[in-house]
Amino acid sequence: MNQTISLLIRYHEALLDGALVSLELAAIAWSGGLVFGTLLGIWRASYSRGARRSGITLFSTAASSIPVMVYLLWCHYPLQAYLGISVPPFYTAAVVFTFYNTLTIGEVVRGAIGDLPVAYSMVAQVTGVPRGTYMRAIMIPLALRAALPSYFVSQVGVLHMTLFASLISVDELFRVIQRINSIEYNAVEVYSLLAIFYFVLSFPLLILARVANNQLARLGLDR
Amino acid sequence: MILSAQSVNKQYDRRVVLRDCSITVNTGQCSLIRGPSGCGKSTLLRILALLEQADSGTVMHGNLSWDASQQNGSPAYPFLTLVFQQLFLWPNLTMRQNISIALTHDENGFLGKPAMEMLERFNILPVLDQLPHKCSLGERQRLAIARALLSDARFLLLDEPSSALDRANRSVLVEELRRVLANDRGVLLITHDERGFDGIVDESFELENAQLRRF
Repeated sequence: MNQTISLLIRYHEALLDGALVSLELAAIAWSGGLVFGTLLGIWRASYSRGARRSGITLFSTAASSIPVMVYLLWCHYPLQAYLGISVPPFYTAAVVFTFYNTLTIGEVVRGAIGDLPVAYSMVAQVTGVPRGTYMRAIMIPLALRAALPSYFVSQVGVLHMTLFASLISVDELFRVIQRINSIEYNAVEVYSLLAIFYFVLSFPLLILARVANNQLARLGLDR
Repeated sequence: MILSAQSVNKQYDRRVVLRDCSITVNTGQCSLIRGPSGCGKSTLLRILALLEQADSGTVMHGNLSWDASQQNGSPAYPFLTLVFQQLFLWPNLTMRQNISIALTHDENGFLGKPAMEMLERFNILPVLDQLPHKCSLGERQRLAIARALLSDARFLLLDEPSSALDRANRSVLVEELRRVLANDRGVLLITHDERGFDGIVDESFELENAQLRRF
């Protein structure tokens, strides 16, 4: 424990820089995924026939089945060579994580909308509430609330996913830790430090997921 | 003007719930259907409201007629409105918003004097700004009924509307239904409490063994 603390003190600047890069990557993927994933999920759930016909449903399912690491390596090396361009690895990682998170959140939102009782929509039909008003005021808020616990849990996964960025030379937390280990040759202490960092970053999100779950139960929205 | 279902058949898997069922309700008339739980009464209401497909039969809303076995994109409202037995108030909206979104198409729309007077008669003004899960079942039921009564629908389909009402509130409901009928609107009730509606029911049916009979 003392060694871990002394490592933390000695390398605190590098560790904080690495953590910041990890958080930046995660923040981009979180915000991009939230916007595009929510839109994708709403579209897939509300216009499921259109989504199926356009191939989006098949594409989302197929794309989700490929590991994010493959996208990362593919976009960083062969794709850029094929296109004759050179994109800084941070941006490549940000785009790939955002794309992957969009698929994840799209599925979470689509599932949450699909889980809403069909009777809510029936009541809207027989009380004359227009479709657009129903979607805006009832369906989307209810679905997003119901999706919150899964959303927070999946975003912890996105934060953890950022350590793959080290594979394409992004100086995020994992890469910094690997460098420290190559200097110190003390894997147990060094990787314990990594665990502590990820715990500190992830724990609040898991708490938020739990709080959201309790709120839903109180609202009678637990599924 | 009539609301009608003709020769409707419906079965779930192998269980027949409606066999050659026909019913017609006129404006200004109140019809009642009773029958054992799970016999298909609510299914018949949903078929009439174009919310569920039958296996065969015809549904008529005034001059318009549909094949009940076909999926129908036509909106039943404002020809009719339906109060479900389970109510299904939207849980993210307050009691007030549950009404105003239906009446004004805006969850924060203004509720006029007639609406507030009816809500007062049903004694739900004190809970208007509560979320549904904080209200009693009776309060939620009165709100769902008030929303239907305040709508522009020509026909009101009410599934067990008095199941959570005390005697006083049932009397308020009966009085409101009298007004509805006097305004040349039609009512179709499903209830086990037929005595409670004695004074207003014009025609009664019993659904038993998948068949609808007058009684």
